[in-house]
Amino acid sequence: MKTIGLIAGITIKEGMRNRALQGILTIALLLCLFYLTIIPLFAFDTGKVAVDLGFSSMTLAGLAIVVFLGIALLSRDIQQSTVCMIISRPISRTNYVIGKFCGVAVTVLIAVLSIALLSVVTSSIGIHFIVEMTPPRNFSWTVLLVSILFQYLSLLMLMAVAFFLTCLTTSEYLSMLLTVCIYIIGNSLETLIAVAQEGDLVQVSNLYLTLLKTIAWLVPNFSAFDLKIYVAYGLSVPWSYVGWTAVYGISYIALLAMITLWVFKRKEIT
Amino acid sequence: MINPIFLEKVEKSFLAGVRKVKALHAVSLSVKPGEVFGFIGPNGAGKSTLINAIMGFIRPDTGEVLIHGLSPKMPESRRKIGYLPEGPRFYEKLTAAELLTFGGCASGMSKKQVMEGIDPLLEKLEILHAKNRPIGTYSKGMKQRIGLALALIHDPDTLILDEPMSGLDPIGRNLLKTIILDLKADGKTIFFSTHILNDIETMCDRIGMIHKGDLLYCGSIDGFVENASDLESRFVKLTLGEQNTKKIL
Repeated sequence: MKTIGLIAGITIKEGMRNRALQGILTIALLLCLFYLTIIPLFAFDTGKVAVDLGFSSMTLAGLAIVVFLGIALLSRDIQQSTVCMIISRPISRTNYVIGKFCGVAVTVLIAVLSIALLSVVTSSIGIHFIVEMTPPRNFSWTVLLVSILFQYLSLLMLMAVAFFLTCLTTSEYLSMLLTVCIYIIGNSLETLIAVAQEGDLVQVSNLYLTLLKTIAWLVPNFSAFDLKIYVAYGLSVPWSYVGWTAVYGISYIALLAMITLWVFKRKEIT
Repeated sequence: MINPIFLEKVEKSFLAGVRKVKALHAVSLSVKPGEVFGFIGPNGAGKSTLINAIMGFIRPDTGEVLIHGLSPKMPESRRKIGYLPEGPRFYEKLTAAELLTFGGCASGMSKKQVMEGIDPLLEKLEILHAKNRPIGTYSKGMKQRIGLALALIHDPDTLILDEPMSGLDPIGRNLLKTIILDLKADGKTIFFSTHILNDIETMCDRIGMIHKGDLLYCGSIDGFVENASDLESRFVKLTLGEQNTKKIL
């Protein structure tokens, strides 16, 4: 445990001092301020628009951090043999990967919470000072917090995918490309299957549908973690759904982490 | 007494495209406690491959590697090892103090012990002034020195140094030579690879020479030189063979 903490510690320090993270957070701050200027242009449901835009900046920044920072921190370790500095100590490769994952996870958490706080603060300022802006209907802090945590959980799943691909390919750019592709597929596959199954004007072969369903088993379903609609419309969240989705997310991360460890343990570092 | 480094018929091959290239051919050697062992060979001879196998970064195809009697697969085998890779790379945003704190604590030292050890070590390596600067701002020579500091912070019994002189200016080389001789006097076991043959004569008890993955020689320096005039001519002779050597010399 001590070595995992040590590796996580240096990863957080390295991540927090990275210019990419600082740049992404600055862009997120500017986006939040920009939203304040465009929200009054909407005629109604400004509260929903504010929630949508706030979550969008969180998603965008989180995705950028996982892709540009998370992958870079691991792939450069392997490509440039920086990992040798760590595993030349009495540290197992398992502890290295877990420590690295925990370090990036904490960095992403800090970033997500910072952006969430920025969104809340700018929205509060907007509600107080801009007449056209109204708070979302039946707003609940609990639902907001759960939505943010789910957003974070989906980013952790993406990070697990990114770590697996980085260990498998060792190429930073290939890993980035594949991770973004999987993120897009994971966000749209559920809708695609629903349309293929239930769409009145859509006719697809059973083979194609089976293929889509098979991919859905492999690729994480990121859309299941998108709870912003509950915040935006003031709906109550079905807690059984929250529980089972969380179990799905955590299980997916654990399973993929085990496969990543298996791959990394067999990797030759030269 | 267990030999700190022990290799028995170690073979290793890599895939180069579709064909396999053998990097090590049944290499056997052992380094005794308190010994300074110089490992020489031309570029691409297999020096770093062998060191990577000792450190457990790569797995030999066949043969056995033991560090302090343990397989490199076991992290515990590296507790008493200090390692300096060739052209060391670090986390560039960390300071020397943070890096050494990590290195010491990861090797089982308490934070207090590490803190007490950092300043004297950096002073010895003449980089104390840069203690709180990010490593990314260091010159190549300074990075080499911080790499050595990282290898020494936990006072290991055995040091494995891959081309420790590379990137150092003559002053740095002289400093490193002094440090190695001090460590030798303290009874530390040192295994290092180098191209610079002059260093070998002054520092090593025994040497090993590798060429194209074959260990051509392992023993004393006197035995290596044999009838040749000096270390370099013997090195060239072994590397190129008798006929080609005559053409060059």
